[in-house]
Amino acid sequence: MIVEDDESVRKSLKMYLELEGFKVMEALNGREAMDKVMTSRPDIIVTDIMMPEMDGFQFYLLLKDQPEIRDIPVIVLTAKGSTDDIRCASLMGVDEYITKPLDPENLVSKIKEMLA
Amino acid sequence: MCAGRAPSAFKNMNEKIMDLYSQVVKERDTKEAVLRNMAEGVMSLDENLVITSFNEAAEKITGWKAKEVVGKKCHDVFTGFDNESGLMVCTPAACFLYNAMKKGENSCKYFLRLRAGEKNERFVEFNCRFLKNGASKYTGAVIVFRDMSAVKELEDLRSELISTVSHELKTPLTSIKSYLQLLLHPKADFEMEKVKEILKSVSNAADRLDRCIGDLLYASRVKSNQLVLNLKHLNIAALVNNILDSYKGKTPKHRFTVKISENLEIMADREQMEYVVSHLISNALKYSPDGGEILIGAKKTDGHAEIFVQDQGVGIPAKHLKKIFDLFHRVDMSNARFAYGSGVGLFIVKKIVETHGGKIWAENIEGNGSRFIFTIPS
Ligand SMILES: Nc1ncnc2c1ncn2[C@@H]1O[C@H](COP(=O)(O)OP(=O)(O)OP(=O)(O)O)[C@@H](O)[C@H]1O
Ligand SMILES: [Mg+2]
Repeated sequence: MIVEDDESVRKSLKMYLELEGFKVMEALNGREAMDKVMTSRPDIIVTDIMMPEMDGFQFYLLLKDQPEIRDIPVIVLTAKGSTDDIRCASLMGVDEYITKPLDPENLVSKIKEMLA
Repeated sequence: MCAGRAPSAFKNMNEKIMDLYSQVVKERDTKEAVLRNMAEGVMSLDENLVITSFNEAAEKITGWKAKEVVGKKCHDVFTGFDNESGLMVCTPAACFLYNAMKKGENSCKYFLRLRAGEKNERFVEFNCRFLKNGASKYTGAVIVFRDMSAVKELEDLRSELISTVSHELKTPLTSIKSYLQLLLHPKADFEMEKVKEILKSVSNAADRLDRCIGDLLYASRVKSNQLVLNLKHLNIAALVNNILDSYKGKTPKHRFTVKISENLEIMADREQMEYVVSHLISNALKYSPDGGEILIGAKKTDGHAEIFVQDQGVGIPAKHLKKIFDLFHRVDMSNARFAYGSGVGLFIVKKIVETHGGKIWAENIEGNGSRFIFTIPS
């Protein structure tokens, strides 16, 4: 599942991942993602941080708080250079993060690694 | 001879002493006045680091009165934390003055987060000069301290800015990169139509990047007052309708209403006026995420044309109404992050309006939403 508010980033990543043979769900923010995760459980979640309504970190914390879904692996996308984000990510024990502008090839290999 | 001159010599001497005395008093008074009126806090300590004087600025910065602190040990009065480690440093063991004295230094400098009063925290820079008798015996210290809270605030703002700006720049870059990789993917086998669609998205993202960079450059140009006006007669209704055309069908939640008399004209720079109006409209859309009416109006007042853009959105907290026009100022929306931006738009808008000889301000509307009004002399 991709959680990202920017339509163009979301669409481009979705197309790329589909080409790689993944089935991709989309959500525009943490809240929407939370609803979708509850009904149809994804194998892995890729989420942006800065999003309206519920940001990536809030979403992550909420997710890790629910026993049924807390073991879904999460990759967080951060803007490079924003050390605050990275510090925050490591403080919260985020499974994995990738800095933007991300290389989709890199994302795919991370995903495969985490699903293996 | 001697006796004869004595009275006058004595008088002379007396006068001299009086002169000297008044000179000393005057000097002391001016020194005191200087000390008192200095923007920097100044305090002096004796060799045991007991406070012996405390000027007015020091009182202002710390919130303590001189009479409350004079006679007490410095570290018993101050509660300060190291800015980086966050550790409490005003203890006999951690005191930076003691440590500098142990090393035999002549001066030292320190940046502290100072707790003054209840929850009031200040960022204070301390500059200390030790008084010595001979090479090694300390007789006291003079400490000048400066309240750097405003500077610190700016610094925080700057790092916040870097994170929003880098987000604004990285987002389109990410989608450009992903689309291109998609086309280059070994398994990629798209129809021409699909390829065109993808390239169109790449081009849009590139435009967005260009706009973002352009805004930043524009802001820095505007900041150094390099705005040149190319004045022409402009029809306001035409200008507004032109801009609204570009939003047609793109914001289904919003309704546009235009109330401008058809022949209202101003003398202004077309490109810059377009920037002003379209930015106010784009803010109105961005800050009314639940939709509603966007009302754009203009009328003639004496000597001016008055133009406004009004929305039914989130409104602006009263204390931010003026500040939002400052460069990089954004209302903190950490609990409702629905709109990202770099906080340059309104700064540019204000500069443009002022260069035209007009004014701009923002108001909240009873109930909900806000209204941005600007004038242009006609
Ligand atoms: N119509 C509006 N309603 C509510 N708040 C507004 C409105 N317009 C502006 N603001 C507030 O003023 C701030 C400054 O606006 P400005 O247009 O300068 O920057 P921005 O929209 O944050 O970013 P950008 O420079 O990318 O447009 C905004 O962050 C927002 O908090
Ligand atoms: Mg704006």
